[in-house]
Amino acid sequence: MCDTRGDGRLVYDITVEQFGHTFDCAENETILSAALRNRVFLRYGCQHGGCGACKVRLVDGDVELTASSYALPPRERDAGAILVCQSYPVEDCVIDVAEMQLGAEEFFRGDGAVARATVLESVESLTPNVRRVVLRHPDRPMAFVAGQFVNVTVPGHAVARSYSMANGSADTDRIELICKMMPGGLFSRYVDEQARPGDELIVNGPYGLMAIRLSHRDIVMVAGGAGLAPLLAMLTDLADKRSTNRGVTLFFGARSTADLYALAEIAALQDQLPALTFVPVLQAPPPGWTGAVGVVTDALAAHSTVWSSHDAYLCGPPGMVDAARDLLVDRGVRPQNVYADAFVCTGETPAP
Amino acid sequence: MPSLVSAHDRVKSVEWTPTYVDHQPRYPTRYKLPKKTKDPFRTLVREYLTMEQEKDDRLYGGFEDVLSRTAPAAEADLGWLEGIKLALPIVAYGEYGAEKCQSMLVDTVDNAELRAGYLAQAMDERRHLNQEMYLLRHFAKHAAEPCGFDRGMQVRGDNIFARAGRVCFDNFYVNDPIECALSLQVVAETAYTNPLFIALTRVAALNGDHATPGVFLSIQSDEARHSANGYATLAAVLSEPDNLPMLQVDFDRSFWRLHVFMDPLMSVLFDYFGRGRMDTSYNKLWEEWVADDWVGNYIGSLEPFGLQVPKYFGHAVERMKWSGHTAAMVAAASWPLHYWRWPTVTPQHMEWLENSYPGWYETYGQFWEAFNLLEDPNMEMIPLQGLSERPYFCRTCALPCVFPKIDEATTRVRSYDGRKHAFCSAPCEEIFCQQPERYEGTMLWDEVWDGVGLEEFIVTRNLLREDGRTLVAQPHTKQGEHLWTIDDVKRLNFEISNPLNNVTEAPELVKQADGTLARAEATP
Repeated sequence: MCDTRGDGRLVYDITVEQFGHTFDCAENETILSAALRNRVFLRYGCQHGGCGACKVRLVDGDVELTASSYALPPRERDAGAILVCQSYPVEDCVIDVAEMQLGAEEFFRGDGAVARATVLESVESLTPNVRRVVLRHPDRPMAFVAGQFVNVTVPGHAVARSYSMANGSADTDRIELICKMMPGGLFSRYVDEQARPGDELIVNGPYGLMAIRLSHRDIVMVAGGAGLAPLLAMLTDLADKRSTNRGVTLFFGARSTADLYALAEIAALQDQLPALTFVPVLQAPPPGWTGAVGVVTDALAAHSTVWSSHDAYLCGPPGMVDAARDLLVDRGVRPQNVYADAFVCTGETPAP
Repeated sequence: MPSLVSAHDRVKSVEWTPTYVDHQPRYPTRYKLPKKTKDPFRTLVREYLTMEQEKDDRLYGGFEDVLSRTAPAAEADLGWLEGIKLALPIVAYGEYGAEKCQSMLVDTVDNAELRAGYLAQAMDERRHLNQEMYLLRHFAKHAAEPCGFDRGMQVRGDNIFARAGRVCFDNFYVNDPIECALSLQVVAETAYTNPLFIALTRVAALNGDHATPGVFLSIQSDEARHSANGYATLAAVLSEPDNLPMLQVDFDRSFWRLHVFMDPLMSVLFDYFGRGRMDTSYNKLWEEWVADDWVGNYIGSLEPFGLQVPKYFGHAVERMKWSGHTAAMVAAASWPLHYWRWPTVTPQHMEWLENSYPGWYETYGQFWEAFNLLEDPNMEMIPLQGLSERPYFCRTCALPCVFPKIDEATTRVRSYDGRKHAFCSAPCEEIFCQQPERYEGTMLWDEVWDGVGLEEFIVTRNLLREDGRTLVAQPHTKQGEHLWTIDDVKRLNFEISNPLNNVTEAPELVKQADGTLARAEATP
């Protein structure tokens, strides 16, 4: 029942269908923050509507949604999907969290992802505007799944930025993040102007559902810019396992040769994964470039492989991810076998 | 009222360790299981019994009231109901095997949490068996063509396909009890019950059959708890590192043994008896439920604990492409042997098959065109006579060695222990070699009936209708015309034979030190 707190603000009941559990949510509170405040757990990631990790189905009731259209395409929104990090209830709600694949224990245990202190080990320029930031966990190891990301708190500010791990999950004592430098961005400014080895950075996570799914199908990966990070982590894990004989084709879209990076790592991965094909794609190729040219979807379309029996992993700017998804689905990849992680730069996200 | 947890714990506290008898499991397992584990049936005390009572009341009440008054069984698609006629006696054997599996597990696994789950599942399996028998009875009373619904349970052991079904579901209670749990709860009830009890329900409804969905959906609502039993058993087994090497071998075997029979059966039911009314093919459902959900999510979540994708999954992917169509063709070619009728494949249905499986017509279209022509007894021919060679039966899976396609079959013949053995595939040969003692004295269908005339088989197996002349089986579903009689069969002068009799040379399999077999020339 809708009720008011002592201060006169409206309070709604949010019921989680799977667990028959109800918690209260104030009118100006997101369902996610209400759940965490009530010590139950819902999966989440970036907390600004960019990653889609907190997607649930609204079974009953109504919410005011402030999500970016990318993480919640119109067809999903029409089918009743909402992002709980961007949903403010306007009446009592019932949500179905089946898509989160939460166990009862996990749900009732509350938010287990706690802040951890890390130490900055190094910052390396990979391209004019991409940096590799290596952080070490001095106290206790952090287990993660290749494809997941962390939220890094910008030193001196109360805001966080999301970055995917680029190293394999065998490294539990350190993480490598690939960060795109945004002009005027808070974290970008920190990395380029202030960062010193030994700095302490607060990291939350790991988050996200991006992961290599076990399957018999071959894999096509499409990366744009800093989106290569989670794919590098996944490839490292595939190489570590050695048991896989799945073919992998990696497309890496960039503007010019100066924007390509991690080429040595990819070559090393090819030694371990003989079935890995690497296709760099340049929009502005130098004279003499014999590789693929254009945007990455041009190269996907022109490639001789038939994609219909593949699983696809896409990571990059939303426009690239959408275009690659459409093309692959059009070529016969089953929509449910396209796993995507788009990074929405915080500076570009419309304010809620 | 006590809390759910304390009430449930009280039930488990009924467990005791007797001091007056030394309990030795009747079915010992090689696996080590911890004494205390997760409890898969936490809802047992407060909800289970009342919920099941309610479900049974609804199901049987619904049958008696609505179904018999409106007689929908008489209006269902005739061809579809023949598929149900074929499948129900086979599925019922699966329920029987599933119940026996629980008895073994209760006897063997000394763990109160797991036992509570097994006991409740045993009750479920008995209820499912009763429900399926009730459905058979319903169709035997109300279907437009009831003949055959009354025979399936009696003759399934002598049917070439239902016999292979028994060999498949024997895996629920013939082996190490933990391997049986893998076959039943982890493979069958986690990978295969969704297609069987959910998707098949849709096909039934699209074909005007509203009785089968009631039973199947009621059954399906118990399966989530059964797969929870499987998960809890698997988690217990995985918690002991010593178990891992044998677990993977047993898991590989369990998957293949279920796949080889379940997938052709389901494909035949969906793609042929479903009459092309479904908006998706069986292979598409398989991709979703077996490849994506079961391998991708279920095994994927256990991979960090050491479980791998079944070794033979790649073979299964290859075999999936055509095995359902090959099974349908062989089952139709052998139609007089069955306790069901084969519906005509219409031109629209052929178009559906070609659209769903591009390239289908090139391999199978001609057969079905010819099959439709041979429906008239005056043609004096059954498709079996057109086969240049009769296929062998596989010693391991008991199916004809025709997969994935008749002309591209992966068949091999070996000799061992004074007998010849054919295998349909590399995995079936390997599985035989792992446990050769399991097949000592087993008789395949054509070994039992070698040298017997088709007429004698039909008469002695009770495959004639009440008039004593007309065959239960027919190569079409037309009522009252072109009906084959035993006289038509007599004229065919067809004899069952075992093609292995004509094989003169077969490589020898030799026992190794560890009890497994290997090809003689492969040994040093």
